[in-house]
Amino acid sequence: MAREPLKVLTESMFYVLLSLLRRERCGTEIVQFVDDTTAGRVPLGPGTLYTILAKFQEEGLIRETAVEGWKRTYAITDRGRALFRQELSRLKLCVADGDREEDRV
Amino acid sequence: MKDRKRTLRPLELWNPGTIEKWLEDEAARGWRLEDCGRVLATFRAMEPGIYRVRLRPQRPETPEARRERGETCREMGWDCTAVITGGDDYDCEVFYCGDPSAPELDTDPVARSWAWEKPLRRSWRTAWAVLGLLLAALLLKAVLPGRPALDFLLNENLSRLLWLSALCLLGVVMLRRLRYLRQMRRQLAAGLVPDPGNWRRDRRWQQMVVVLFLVCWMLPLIGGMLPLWRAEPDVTSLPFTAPMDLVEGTDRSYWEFETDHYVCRSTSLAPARFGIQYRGQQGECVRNAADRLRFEFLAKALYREREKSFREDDRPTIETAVENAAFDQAVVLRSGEERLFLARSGKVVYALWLDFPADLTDSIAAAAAAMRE
Repeated sequence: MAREPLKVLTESMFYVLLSLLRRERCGTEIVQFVDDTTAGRVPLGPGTLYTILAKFQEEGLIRETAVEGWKRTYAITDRGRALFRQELSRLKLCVADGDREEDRV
Repeated sequence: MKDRKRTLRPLELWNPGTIEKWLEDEAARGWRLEDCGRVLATFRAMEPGIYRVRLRPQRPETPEARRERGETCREMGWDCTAVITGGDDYDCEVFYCGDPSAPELDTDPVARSWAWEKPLRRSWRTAWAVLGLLLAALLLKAVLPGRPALDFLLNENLSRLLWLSALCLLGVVMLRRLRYLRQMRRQLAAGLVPDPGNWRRDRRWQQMVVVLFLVCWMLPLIGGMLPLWRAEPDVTSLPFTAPMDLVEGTDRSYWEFETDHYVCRSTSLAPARFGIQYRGQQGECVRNAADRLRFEFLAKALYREREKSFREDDRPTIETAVENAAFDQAVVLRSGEERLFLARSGKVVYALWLDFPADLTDSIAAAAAAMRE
């Protein structure tokens, strides 16, 4: 079964939200941000990027802010921030659990 | 060397792995998909090489958004060269990438399943709806009283049969689509890439279906122009009995009968078919039918069918054999006031029904004389 959408974010989705936390970005800037931040560990294909952006817009997690020529910029919404924080807390818990168990070993 | 080629397009888009593999093999031979209409796919020549080809369903978006997406894809090494028209499903974009270092078009299996989710659901519903309609039509046909199968075959000509074949083929195509859809749902749920399978076998099947659909669609149109279908029925040599001959020796008058129904046609399996029905003032009915068929076995089958049809209601029937050298088979059946004189001579079948008592001797002699000629 596929994971329930938007309850648990995949890495690509997480980094797309992360890229919009501090400022608005367009598609290529998001790809660049993810590539720089993860040092290429998380590849973000264009098909995936635009599917995620469309879905996030549908769900009200991001919104389109400006259109300059063919360039479109996106900004995170309050709902998007809330989901990001929720996911970050979940990941922190995962890391804490992992660290604790590793220390015991 | 020509710079374009055309081939039959893939029928179904629900096996994207197969189509991708086919397009990758074409790209290795130096052909890139340029356009894909409802029937034909057009390829343009390019430098042969190793390309990755990916299909993605096109979603509704503004032209600006599409342009932005296209530009970003191009910057990332993926070029959308064509859109495959989906017909009843959805349109599908075809992306080519010749850069081995470029990331995959889809890097997240969950996002990929989102992209396919809506068209997949729509196609699933469409396939069931088409199958439901076909089934409803079949049930309706089974419930409603219809003409016997042989009569349908002889009367309706090849065009109706071709349409019937096309409908059966449509049913098979929909069943295959449901199978692919289920397979794809499983693949997407498991985060797997589409399995290319045996794309050559799949292509052969798809091409066969497209050709058959075209034949079913075109043949009736072309058929109207060919002499085989257009031929005028030659009914003058067929035996015929007018009510005037029947009412002799009875208390009825010929002028009391009116033509109720008249059929005269030629089909590929029955070059001459003639039928006439008269109705009398008291509701009496005389039906006269004569058919010259293409093959003797069909004439025998029609003879059997008419005989069976008269006996159908299990009513007591008196059978009287008719001895006449002009006929290969002949019989008079009586049930109450109804009568049927049925005869076959070679490929010609003659039948005379009437629902009032009458002396058929003269009619039989006239039919025998006509058949001898």
